[in-house]
Amino acid sequence: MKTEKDYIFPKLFLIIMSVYGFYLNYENSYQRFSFRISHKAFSYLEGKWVEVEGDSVELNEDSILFFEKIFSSILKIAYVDILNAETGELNIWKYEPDHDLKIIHKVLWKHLKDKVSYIIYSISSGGENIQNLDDKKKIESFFRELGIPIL
Amino acid sequence: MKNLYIFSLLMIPFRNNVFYLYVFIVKRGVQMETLAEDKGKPINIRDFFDENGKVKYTLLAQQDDTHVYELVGKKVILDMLFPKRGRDFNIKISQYPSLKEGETLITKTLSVCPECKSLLRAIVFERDGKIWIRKVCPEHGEFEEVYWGDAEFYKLKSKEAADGRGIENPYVDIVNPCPFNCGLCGRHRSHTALLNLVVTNRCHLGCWYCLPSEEEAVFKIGDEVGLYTFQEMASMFNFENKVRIDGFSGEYSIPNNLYALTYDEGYIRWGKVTKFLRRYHKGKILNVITKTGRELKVTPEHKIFLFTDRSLYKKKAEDLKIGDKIVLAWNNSSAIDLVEDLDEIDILEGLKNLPYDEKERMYLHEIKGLNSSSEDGCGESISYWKSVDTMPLSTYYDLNMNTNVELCRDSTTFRLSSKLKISEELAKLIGYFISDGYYTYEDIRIKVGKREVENDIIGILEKLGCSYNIIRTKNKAKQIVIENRLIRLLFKYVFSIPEKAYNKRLPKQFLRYKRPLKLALLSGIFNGNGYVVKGKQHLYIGFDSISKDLIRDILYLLSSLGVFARVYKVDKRKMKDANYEHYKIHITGKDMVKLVNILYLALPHLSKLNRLDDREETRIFRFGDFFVDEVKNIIYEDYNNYVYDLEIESDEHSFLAGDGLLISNCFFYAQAAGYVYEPSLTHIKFMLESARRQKPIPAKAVQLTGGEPTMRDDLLEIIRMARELGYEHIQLNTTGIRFAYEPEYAKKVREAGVNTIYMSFDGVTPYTNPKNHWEIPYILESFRQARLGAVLVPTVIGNINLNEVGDMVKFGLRFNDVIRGVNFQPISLVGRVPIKERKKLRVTIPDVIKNIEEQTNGQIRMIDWYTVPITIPISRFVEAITGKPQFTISNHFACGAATYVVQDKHTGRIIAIPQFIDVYELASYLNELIDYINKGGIRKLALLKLVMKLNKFIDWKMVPEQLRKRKRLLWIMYKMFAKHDYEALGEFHFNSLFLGMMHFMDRYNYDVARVERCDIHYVMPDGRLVPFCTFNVFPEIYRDKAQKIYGMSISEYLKMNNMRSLAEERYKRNIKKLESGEIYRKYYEGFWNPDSISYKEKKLLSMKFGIPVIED
Repeated sequence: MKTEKDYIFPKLFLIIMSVYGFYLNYENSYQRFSFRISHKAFSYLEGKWVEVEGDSVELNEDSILFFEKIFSSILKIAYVDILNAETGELNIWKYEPDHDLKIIHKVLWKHLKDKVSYIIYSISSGGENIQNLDDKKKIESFFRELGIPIL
Repeated sequence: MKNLYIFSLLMIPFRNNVFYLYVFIVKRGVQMETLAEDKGKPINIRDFFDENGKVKYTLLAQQDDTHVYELVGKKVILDMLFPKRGRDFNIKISQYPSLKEGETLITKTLSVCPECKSLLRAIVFERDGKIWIRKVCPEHGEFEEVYWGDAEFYKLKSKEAADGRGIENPYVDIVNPCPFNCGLCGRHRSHTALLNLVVTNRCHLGCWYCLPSEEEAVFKIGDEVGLYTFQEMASMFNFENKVRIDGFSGEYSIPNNLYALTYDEGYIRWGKVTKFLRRYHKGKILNVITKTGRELKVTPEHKIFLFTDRSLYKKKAEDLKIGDKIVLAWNNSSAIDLVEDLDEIDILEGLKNLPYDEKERMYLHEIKGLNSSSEDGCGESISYWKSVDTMPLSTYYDLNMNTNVELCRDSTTFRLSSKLKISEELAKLIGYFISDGYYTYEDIRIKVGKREVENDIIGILEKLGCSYNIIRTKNKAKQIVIENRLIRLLFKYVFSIPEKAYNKRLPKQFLRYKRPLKLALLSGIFNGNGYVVKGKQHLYIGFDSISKDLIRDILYLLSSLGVFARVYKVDKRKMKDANYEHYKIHITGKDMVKLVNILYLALPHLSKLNRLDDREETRIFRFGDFFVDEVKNIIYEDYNNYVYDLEIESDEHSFLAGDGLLISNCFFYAQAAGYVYEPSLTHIKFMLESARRQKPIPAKAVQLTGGEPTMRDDLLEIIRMARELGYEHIQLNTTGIRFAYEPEYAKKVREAGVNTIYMSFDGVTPYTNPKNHWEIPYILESFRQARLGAVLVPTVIGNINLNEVGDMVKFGLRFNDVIRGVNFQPISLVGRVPIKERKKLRVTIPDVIKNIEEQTNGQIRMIDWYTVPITIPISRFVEAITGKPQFTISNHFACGAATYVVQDKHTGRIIAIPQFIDVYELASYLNELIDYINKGGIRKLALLKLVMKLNKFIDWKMVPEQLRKRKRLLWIMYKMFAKHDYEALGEFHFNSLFLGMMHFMDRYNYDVARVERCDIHYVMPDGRLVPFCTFNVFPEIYRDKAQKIYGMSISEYLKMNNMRSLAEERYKRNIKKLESGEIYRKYYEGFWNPDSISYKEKKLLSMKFGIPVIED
């Protein structure tokens, strides 16, 4: 009878949030790691993925929640950590998706892992999806499928 | 489903992704309604909910399929339980708290407003050698609280901070900010180190609070609304349920339709009375008198609401001090507005109490339409009376009729309709009469001093068709004599206006009068004998009376119009020839302006009341419908009668009594919640399984808690079930009292699978530990026989037991064969506590550690303590060696600290383990080895390197004898790293005393950064996991809300368990018997001399705590 093996309770997609992209330069000695996130957004237009521009916005409650929703599980940082970061430069862009959209966040780990990973937030007709890619082959394959060079 | 469909139609035009949301929800909705199967029978999840969305727990409890609990849980979360912004919480993070002079920033974080619990920005900073937290709520202002009592120690220990790995399978998505998204969500940094499972909310604490029989409160019962004495109200109930609390016998009824005024977030509303209780009280009662002249009589133990530092809290009446700020109502209009519907009165109903000869002289007219089935049963046939169209009132009552007729007395022509419309004129006439009128045997008279008033009364009487006379006596005020016996009887019996001036009152139902009638009544009162005083510095409207009750009525009447008044009492000794105390009502400032604008005041008054525009607010502090008053005097009186109490359905457990004082209502132990939460075995299995689903580390340790878990008869089955589900460590959080009387139960509990008893122990004397002081020796003896280990858990409170922390450590060491540890918990303040009280109570981790150092003569030093994350390198090292995720204790460093101590068997010296193991060096070397393995080093070689080097971290000169022998310490440490299992840890514990600190947060020192790292979680009845401090600081969102939905009514519980009352289960203590045992003295020898205080005092200590004392 049980249909949901991976988590006990249904995910709570009860709040509709806007879509944001982030630039974050983060260093926190308490957590003993630092990284830089940058992003690019792509929209699916006329049969291909085309880079789109967002509007620069101030930090607000929606963007905080969006940030935590896509990054907290993977990076283990939440808004309260950004408040307390030694280096915590944060810039935010807002996107209003009319078509399928992917925001590809590149995470450049400067300490702890010393590697690059990608956190991709996608909206498509199948719903929303968050992926974390840190395997070199999977990263290459992802960008190849998308038809854009590796960021 | 229908609602969801409408929702989707509304949203589709805006955005594509909203459309997909619709698809998702519909799909989810279908899933929610899926039929489950139980033993082949289909089950519809909807059947488990009543019309209010509450789980039908008696039905659910019959299910033995945990999947049903899971499905019900999902539906409950989605529909009701998941916190919703605006409804359950608010975010107010736009304001930044600033640093002040002499302060240094330590960190920024998020916290909550102690008043409204909104999410706020906060700073943690250093000042005066301490660490503080500060936050600013845009609505409730700035709050700051001591966070850690020693700044240097904080900075040193902050270096030990490290994060855990969290969980891979968050139970819920992130849709709310922390801490309103539990849980656990993807933000969380720690897996569950200790799972708390509430197996019952029954416990055995409680006490009576009471009010004397003549004290009053506003009650609503059916259509009746008014000030009733508790004795009057009691006459309506049978008190059919018996209860015994604190050794006192009492009784109660459960009213169907009784309401009293209660507090609701600063406003007054009607609260349902769920119990009306009484007991006999012979002793003292207190008359609390406030600065604004309000009074209330209560028993000494009754709790009264105080207001300090923008917070409400409760204090026993006997602990009140002059100057204490207490809370009163100044405006009950929002509640009274709902019942202001009366403008007609049934005279025949009111005249039922007339003496019989008066009934004989009272006649009804217009009776042709009367019908009665008992017509033939009367001496004279009704047809005769019908033929003359009149009938004595006595006959009417004999015939048991009920219709609209006209009444008159004797042969007078003045008639009143039996359904009398109360006109504004009549209300004003009543006001004039109450103000300065009196009854004679035959008529009623009103004294008039002003021509305008005289003319007004005459006008009213002429309009009513009443005859009157005016008496003029030299040197005395004129009197208007209303020569109308019917009016006299109407005032006396129907409006219930008492005869004498000293006990005059407003008509019984005045609170129900429609607003124009209230204004007319008040106009009559103030025009009649009221006055306006105008001086250079002051201007007020006043009214005097020798009737305290009348003053109370007028206060309530003014309050129903939203007008505040002060009351002054003038001692009769200060007045010439006075037989009674005088009470003066004064209305000033904007309250006076409001009154002037709504009343019909006479010209002599109005002439003094010009230029009112610049009046200031009356000098009282108001919040919502309440204001803050001061205790002016407390008078003790002897009392020998019933005392009463109410149990009210309200969040603050309160009601208004006396002159509008806000007081706590009675709550007795488990019944405080109003429901019993006691999950079934299958439900418990579901919750245990839920926590075991965590990835990558399933919960391994569980604490069964309550209430009092040993009150469950099936506790052993629960323990066995936890063991079967894979829990390696099972501990029981208990007072231990049951074990004192049932040593064999300790053995059963151990055999079932309990590893440790986590036992409340607040000190070595009955002053500090009234909860289980007398039972502790017997409990520990039972544990010894059963070979069951205990961890003592003192809650440390600044002004209570901080001075005993050293003795508690020594007590633990003396009985180290059975006591495995002492885990100190600095107090977490429940509810709103004013700053003065917080300063007295607040203790932080460094404060306790410092006191332990002082009280053990420096044997356990501050630097011997390490914060919890210091253990993380050990877990990471084992992870690196084994390649498997390991159990990690990774809460925030500020939450807890620990050390291990050993007492040298030869010297008796207490030695903390960090005195002979270099902890920092060991941790640092472990980190080196972790890096080595992570970079491809050979795991076994790393372990070998560690084993070879272990000896270098040990200072053997300091190692106690028992661990030095055959280098036993080295062997234990080796097993910890090599075997890294529960057994190895257990061996370490058996050879030392664990000393721990765990400071649970409250609304004042709440830090979201700590919550996100919490590893002590409660499992909710719906299966979610909630950090300890979130579960208890937000009970309205998590604990109480969920337990109520999954709980059952007390009556259902009693019925299921064939009980008459939960009070049957209460523990009663026999101090004499407990103290007579040899064991008792042996255990406390050197700590406490039982002969140092009297039996009476001991008895009082026990009873004050809530445990009644019995004797053989």
